Amino acid sequence: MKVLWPLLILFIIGAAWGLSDNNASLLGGIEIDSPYAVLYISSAFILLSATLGAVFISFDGISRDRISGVLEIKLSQPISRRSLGGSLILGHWAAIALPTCLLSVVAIVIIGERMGDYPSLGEVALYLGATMLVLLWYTLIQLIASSWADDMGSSIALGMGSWMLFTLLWLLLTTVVAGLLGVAVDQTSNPEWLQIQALMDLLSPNGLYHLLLEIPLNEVDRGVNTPVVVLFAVLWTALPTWLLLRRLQYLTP
Amino acid sequence: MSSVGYRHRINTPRKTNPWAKSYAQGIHDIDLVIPKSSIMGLIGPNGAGKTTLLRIITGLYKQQSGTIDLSLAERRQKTGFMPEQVRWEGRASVAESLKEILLMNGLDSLPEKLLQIVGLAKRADTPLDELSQGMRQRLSLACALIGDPEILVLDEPMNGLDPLAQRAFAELLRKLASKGVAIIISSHQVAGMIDLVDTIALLHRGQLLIQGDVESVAKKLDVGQKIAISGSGIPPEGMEKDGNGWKGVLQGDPGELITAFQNQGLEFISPQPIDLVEMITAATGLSIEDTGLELSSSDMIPLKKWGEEE
Repeated sequence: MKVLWPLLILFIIGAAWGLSDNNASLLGGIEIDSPYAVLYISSAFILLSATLGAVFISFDGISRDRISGVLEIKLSQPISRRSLGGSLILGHWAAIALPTCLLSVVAIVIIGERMGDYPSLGEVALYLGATMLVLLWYTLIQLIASSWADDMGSSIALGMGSWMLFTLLWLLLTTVVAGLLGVAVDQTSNPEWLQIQALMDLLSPNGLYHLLLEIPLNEVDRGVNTPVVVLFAVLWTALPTWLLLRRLQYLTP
Repeated sequence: MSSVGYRHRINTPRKTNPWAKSYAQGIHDIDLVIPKSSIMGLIGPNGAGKTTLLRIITGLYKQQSGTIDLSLAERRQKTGFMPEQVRWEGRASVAESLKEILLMNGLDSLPEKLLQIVGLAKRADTPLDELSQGMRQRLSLACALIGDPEILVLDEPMNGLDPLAQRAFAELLRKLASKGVAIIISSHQVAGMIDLVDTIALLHRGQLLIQGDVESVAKKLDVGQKIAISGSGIPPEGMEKDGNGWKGVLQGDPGELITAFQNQGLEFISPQPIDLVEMITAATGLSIEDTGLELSSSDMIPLKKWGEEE
């Protein structure tokens, strides 16, 4: 956490401070005309810092104990595997979610004070809720990967690999899918491309995070209904949780 | 437990399937009785299935065949398990690590006596990274003792302990056994085990070859009490020369040996402890080298009192 705090402060507080400046301008003529718009755009910095924090905290959440032999002791305790899994998820998620939540609240105050206008309570709740969810998804992905890893090398590879896939390579994958479906990928305003991008985003925690944050933005319509976005958010929470608990049920040292 | 069997799956990557798995040897048809208030030595060559059996007893593995009187949950509840060589590491302290295990047992306060018993009372606030291997072993033992287990399962507990700590550890086990705890101990350091265990179970290639108290097992395997004798003068038949006299080790009744050798310069007679390695080699047909057993002894160090801090 000593490493993560400066990273989180720099990205979350820094983004709020910079983007809430009245003279701030973004490439592509994107306008920042409301406090929520600042929050929406600064969510990109959450994906570059807090999700990386979730990876750092959870990538060896199980494999480290397995490698050291401590897992053998923990698994032989009377606690049920379900409760053990629940505490693993809660512990690792809270370790990154609480600092991120705290800094996000500070960021909201900074935005409100600098712009003279605060986002509504509903917008704040959506922003914080979606941020907590994306961190939970990353925590779950990392813990599942960690339960498969037999050594520290594969832990790191699986952890960083999944983060890079969703953060850096997903757009490339989306482009490939669009190309295979015969959709022109050189026009980013093409409605077909936008829809494929939105559909692919449903399959990525980062993309789904943005789709959730886009719900109150009337000017953004990528062709995916809100109930579908909410359904995928539920699935992204329930399925990895079920998978991890099932892995733990049959996990051997 | 009766007719218990378990085969775990191990990675056997092939060119066509790098994730291929196949069944390991495992254990078969194990009928084992774990008596209360006694220390059972689980012995056998490398790869005999000792750790697999211990993991079944502790509830880490669910048996694939056979029956065990206690359910999986009951085994986890009633068993304290000390695995082989746990590398405790991290910035958490000894006390914090123990509290985590306590919480998993539904307990919330760390009993001071627990740290005293394992000799870590002065190390409660020491980070795990700063512990020696011996201290890590003690911490693992402390974890096993949490919740006053009825069965204590110890896999290679002497590894990493200095001879002094090994003696204190043995005393602690005897004390626990006298309080009604059933103790199962698996160790490669068989030289010291014969004085520690009340019964032995001999495992080989996943099968339980023999189980019982040490004397009866030794008798069944015909590796009973041995007597060292020595004397002066010309070595009798079968004895080796030793300086100006002779010496040898025989199996038999001490009285008969005295009678047989008294006219041949017999000066010294000493009963030898039953040799567990000999038992294993007799039961399995393996040579000592093949068994992978360690023959180190810690008898040079004086005995410490139980619970004493080092």
